[in-house]
Amino acid sequence: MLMSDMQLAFVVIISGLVIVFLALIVLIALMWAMGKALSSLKRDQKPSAPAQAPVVPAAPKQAAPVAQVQPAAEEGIPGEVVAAISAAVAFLMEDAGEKGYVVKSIKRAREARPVWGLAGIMENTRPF
Amino acid sequence: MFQSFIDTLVGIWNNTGFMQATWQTWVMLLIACVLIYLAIAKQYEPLLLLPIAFGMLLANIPVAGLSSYSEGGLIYYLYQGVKLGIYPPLIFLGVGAMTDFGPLIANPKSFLLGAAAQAGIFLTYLGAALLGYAPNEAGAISIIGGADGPTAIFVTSRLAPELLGSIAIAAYSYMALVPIIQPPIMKLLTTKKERCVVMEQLRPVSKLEKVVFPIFVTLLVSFVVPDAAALVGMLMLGNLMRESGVVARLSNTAQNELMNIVTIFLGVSVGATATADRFLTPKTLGIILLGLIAFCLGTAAGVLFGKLMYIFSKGKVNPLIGSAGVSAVPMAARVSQKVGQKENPGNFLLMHAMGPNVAGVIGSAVAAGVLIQVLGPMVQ
Repeated sequence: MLMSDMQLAFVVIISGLVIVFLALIVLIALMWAMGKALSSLKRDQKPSAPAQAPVVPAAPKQAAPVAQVQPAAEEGIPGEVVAAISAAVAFLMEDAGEKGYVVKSIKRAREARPVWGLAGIMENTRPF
Repeated sequence: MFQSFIDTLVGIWNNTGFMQATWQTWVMLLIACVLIYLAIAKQYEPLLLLPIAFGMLLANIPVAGLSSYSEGGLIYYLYQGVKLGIYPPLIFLGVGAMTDFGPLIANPKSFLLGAAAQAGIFLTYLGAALLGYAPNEAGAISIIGGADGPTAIFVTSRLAPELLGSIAIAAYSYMALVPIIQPPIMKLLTTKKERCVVMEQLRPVSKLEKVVFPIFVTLLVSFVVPDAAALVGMLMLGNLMRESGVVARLSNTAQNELMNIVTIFLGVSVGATATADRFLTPKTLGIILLGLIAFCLGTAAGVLFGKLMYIFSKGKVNPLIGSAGVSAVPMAARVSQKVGQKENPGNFLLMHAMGPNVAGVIGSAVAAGVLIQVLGPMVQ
């Protein structure tokens, strides 16, 4: 192998890797900037939406009792679910002979995937 | 009267393939039959391997003049689409129309894995140069590491057309063997803990982002590496037709009828370049060996870069998705999914691996442009 061929090989390796990385890093920056611009555009649109929407007088009245019933429950959990969970806890605690307990908060368990969701994904990805 | 009849028969017999065939002819026909068997019985990339193998069979029939180099013949004219660099970009048009770049847009860092896996191409160039291949031949051989058939054919037709048959067959054979080649390398370079990483769900991508993406990529890549413009431009045109949603008919044609027609022409004419005098040489053995090395190096580079991202992200990136950076869409992403699921059946890496996988297609097109730009002037 000639020395000039060796030099050419290093030129190809270095310039190739640098250009490929550079081009794709610029694309990352462009995609990142585009994502940011679009999300800030959405954020700007969101606060103006309630102002434009007609105010429904009954809405605060409906929301208020839910807030009183489930002050420690995570947003989106309906009152019936809070009642059912509390009843189940009460049943189990009473069964165990415990009395001085308080349900302070209710949070969704996010770690585990719902069983049916898991079954669906497994079914869909089985061919792969 | 009788004598002239006998002379005619002898003349016809002497002109048949049986009399004209050499031992090299029979070896080539045998190789073609083995490849046809692999395409049909083992389903190794049958869509391309079958026409390639049959083209090889036709090209080696003595006297028929059906090789891509037999001027005036049917396949000679079909071959002009390869020689002039028309078919690979048309295949890319169809690939673009079939590809969802959503996972890549949702996680742009995947571009880095797609870039890292291209190291296989450039490191193999060094190996090929050390083995004594001319620079243009070394460039054409090393592109096998991109694991992208149309790109390999595009680069080879520009840099070393005489190696087209061997390189196309090696590239498609190794792409079919991705599920066998990659897992041992992935397991060797990662720990069980790394393979078990469950990645966060990808964010949803808006239609606007998906429409803007192909325009950005085309402009940027074509300005940086003009020699990659034909490949990347057509890939992104196909994708824009898909994502815009306003030309469903064109998108369907690109990914079905057009792509199928071009695949037949490309396969047969590339196969027909593999004539005995060009294929049965020590160079072919070197190409097969270097092609395997290129695949292994690309996979290893992707996984190692994935490990780096695992460290910097504090364990949020599963390094197994790095191996998908070697294009071979969607096979390489499926391999990441399978290897990951073996460790943790509840882990779904497929969509995460699709990001580096489609980034690899763009990365290998950029690498192809660099090779043509640097080595193209040396081709006589």
